[in-house]
Amino acid sequence: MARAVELEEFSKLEYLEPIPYRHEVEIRGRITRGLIEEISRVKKEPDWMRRLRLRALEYFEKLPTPKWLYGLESIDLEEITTYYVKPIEEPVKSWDELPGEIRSIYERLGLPETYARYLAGLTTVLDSETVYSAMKAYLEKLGVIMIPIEESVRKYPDLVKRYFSRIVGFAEHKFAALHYALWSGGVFVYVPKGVKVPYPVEAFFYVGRELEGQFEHSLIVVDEDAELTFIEGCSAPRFKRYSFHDGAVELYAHRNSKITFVTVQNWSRNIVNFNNKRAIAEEDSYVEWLEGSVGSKYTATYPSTVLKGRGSRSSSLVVSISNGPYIKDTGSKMIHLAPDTRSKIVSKSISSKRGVNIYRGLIYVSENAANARSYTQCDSLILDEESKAYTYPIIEVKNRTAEIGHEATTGRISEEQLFYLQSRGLREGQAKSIIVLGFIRDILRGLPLEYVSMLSRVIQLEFERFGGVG
Amino acid sequence: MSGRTYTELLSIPVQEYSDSPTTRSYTLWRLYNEYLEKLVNGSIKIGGEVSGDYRGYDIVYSGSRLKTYGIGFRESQPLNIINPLRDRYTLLHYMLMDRRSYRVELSGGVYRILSVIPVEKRIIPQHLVLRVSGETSIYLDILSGDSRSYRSFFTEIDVEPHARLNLVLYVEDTPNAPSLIDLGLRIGDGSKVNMVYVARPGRMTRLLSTAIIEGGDVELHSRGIVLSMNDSRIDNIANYVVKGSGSYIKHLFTGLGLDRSVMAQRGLGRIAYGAESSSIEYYSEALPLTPSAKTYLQPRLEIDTGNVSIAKHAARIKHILPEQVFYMETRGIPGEYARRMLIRGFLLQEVYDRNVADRVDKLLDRCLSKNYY
Repeated sequence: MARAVELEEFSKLEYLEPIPYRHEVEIRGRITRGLIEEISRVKKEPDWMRRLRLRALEYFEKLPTPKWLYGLESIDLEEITTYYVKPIEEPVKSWDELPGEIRSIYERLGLPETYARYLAGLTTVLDSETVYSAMKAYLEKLGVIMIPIEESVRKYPDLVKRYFSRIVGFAEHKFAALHYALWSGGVFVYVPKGVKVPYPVEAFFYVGRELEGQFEHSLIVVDEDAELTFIEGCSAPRFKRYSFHDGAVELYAHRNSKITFVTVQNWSRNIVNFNNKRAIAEEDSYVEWLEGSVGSKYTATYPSTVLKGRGSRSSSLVVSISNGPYIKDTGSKMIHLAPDTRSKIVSKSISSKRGVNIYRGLIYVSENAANARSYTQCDSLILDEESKAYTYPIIEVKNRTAEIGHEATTGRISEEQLFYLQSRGLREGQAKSIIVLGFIRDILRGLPLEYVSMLSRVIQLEFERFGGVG
Repeated sequence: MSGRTYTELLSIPVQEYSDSPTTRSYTLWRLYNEYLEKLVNGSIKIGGEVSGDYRGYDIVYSGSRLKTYGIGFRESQPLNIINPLRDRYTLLHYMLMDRRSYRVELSGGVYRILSVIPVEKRIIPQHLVLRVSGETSIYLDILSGDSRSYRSFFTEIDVEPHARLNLVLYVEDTPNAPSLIDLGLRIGDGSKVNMVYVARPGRMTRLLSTAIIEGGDVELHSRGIVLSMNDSRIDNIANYVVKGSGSYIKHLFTGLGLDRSVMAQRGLGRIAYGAESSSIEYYSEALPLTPSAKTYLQPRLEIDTGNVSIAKHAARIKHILPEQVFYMETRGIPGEYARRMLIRGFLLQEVYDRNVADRVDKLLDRCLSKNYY
């Protein structure tokens, strides 16, 4: 049974006030060709990257704003004024080399301790640039690359060009184009053939100020017979106004490899969060998406896998909590292009206090994908009458041998369950958090242990706060 | 609507794209646009009549003329259960009808209704308003033969409080022209509606049904059966909006895809804010039998209240498994016949009306006359 949350822990995990810090460069203004050129110049990029940004800008200007995003009209992106902030000259490899105020941001989040205890590598992005990037020595010996993505553009241009923007294209929609025009910060990870990284590596993204855009890019390539677990953590302090996050994640799983991509999204309530996440899975490879989405004002993200190679597999397990008048528009897409491919989507959403959870999913089976198998389960729990849950699954099948199933349910916590737990001495809020944790147990089971503990605590706090929900 | 010209319609969207980033248009709109362009040029006629012997029917919508046998009717304004401003071709329909419709009051009993259209290339708008009370059964046949006319057939049914309605819609569409068949139901307090639609699509059949449950304690069972063959294409949209409390809606769709047919079944089950303790179940299942048959399923749920009793949906692509056939063969049933029985069982799940079963059987005979195994 989950234990009751102590007050001390509550104060630790509350969204904190921002810590001001001195920065090297700041680029403000409207999104124009001049602004893009300026960012490219400051970042000392090669010409191919500058041209890619400018082409993406053309698409951004040309493409319409999606009309299907629920509630997007309530957000005025014109308010965003800062598009690039460089906190320090170059990323460092030791916490001690960071300026005191920046180090205190990470110490407050417990990242130095987490890296020392659990992780094989850690990259932290503060606003627009990577400030810290380190990897345990044994990984370097195995030939693993984990460096800030800007550095990879300079150091391994051929390798980066082979994958960068080839998995998530900039012409796909307006916000993908915006991302590629303004991208900055992020990580490049390459795991060579046959290397199985024993511990997770993590990238942590932090937005430090209001009315700012963060556009980080993560590119992860796992070569044949290799394995990697990558954790993406997101956080931000409490602002008066909002900030905007439009990131991208590109995963490439070569033959017989395995990538587990874990997201623990705990943005503060002022972040508008768009994320473009896609993987390509080659023959017999396995891509696993695990996502715990707790924070943010507005989230739209649909991790997707293109099952390109015969026998490739992918699963997506997403838990999404909207506790307050916030919108979570999440889901997954599985594109079956090859024979004998398998996919599974499990989505669990919890809405309370006027929260809106939306599931959008796509299962696509092409003519060539004989014997494809896919199963989707999306369950929604609504905790009060003011909250909403929508599910929009799409199934497109062009091969009759495909076996596809989708099931969804929407329900509420029954009075009997609550009464039972309360009769055992639990408060209403505690009882609800236990029921919620039980509801998402399938997802928690797949997460690394320390993140289960963290996510469970966050969920407990969400439902304990102010004497419970409903 | 007033003052609009047909030319202006060309700039109105053919479809709302508000539901998903990946929603595509499953309707071949170019086929519809051809007729609209001809209308703009003045090179196609609107309306027409069909002569024939329609004994056995109580109401016959022949081209643009309504004939009834022993039942009164009158011209009236449409009820607008089907939103006139929804998209280009709904608006076109209302423009062609010029705010007119035929209204019939049906109070208890069994009624057979037929809609037919002329063979030659025309645009045929038809709009029928039925007001139903008491315990009523309606068998509505929408037949096209080999017509080259574009049929825009709208039926709005206003189910009065505490009525019992058994509605069977049977569609055999033409392989030569597109069609728009739209059914709108408004259901009052305490009513029970059992609806079955059976369709054999044509070149491009757009079959829509929208049920708005305004009253409380309503029960609606909707059953859709589609047998799609040759080069036919169907975009079937079934939407249910529950506004009243304590209501129960169940929709089950089963579709058979053969040859190069394309079958899309989608729709929305929505429980609105304030509809307390209501339930909705929405199931879509398809059985593609040939390699080139394409299937799209998209059942959607929108739950705007936490006080929901049941809200479920499911979609499945089914198969006839060799184990199933083998099991039946071991019981002495020949393989071909066993497969037919399994397909029939799949299509006729939860169908209790003998007339519906007979019609599905006849369609199945035609569909399975080739060797699809």
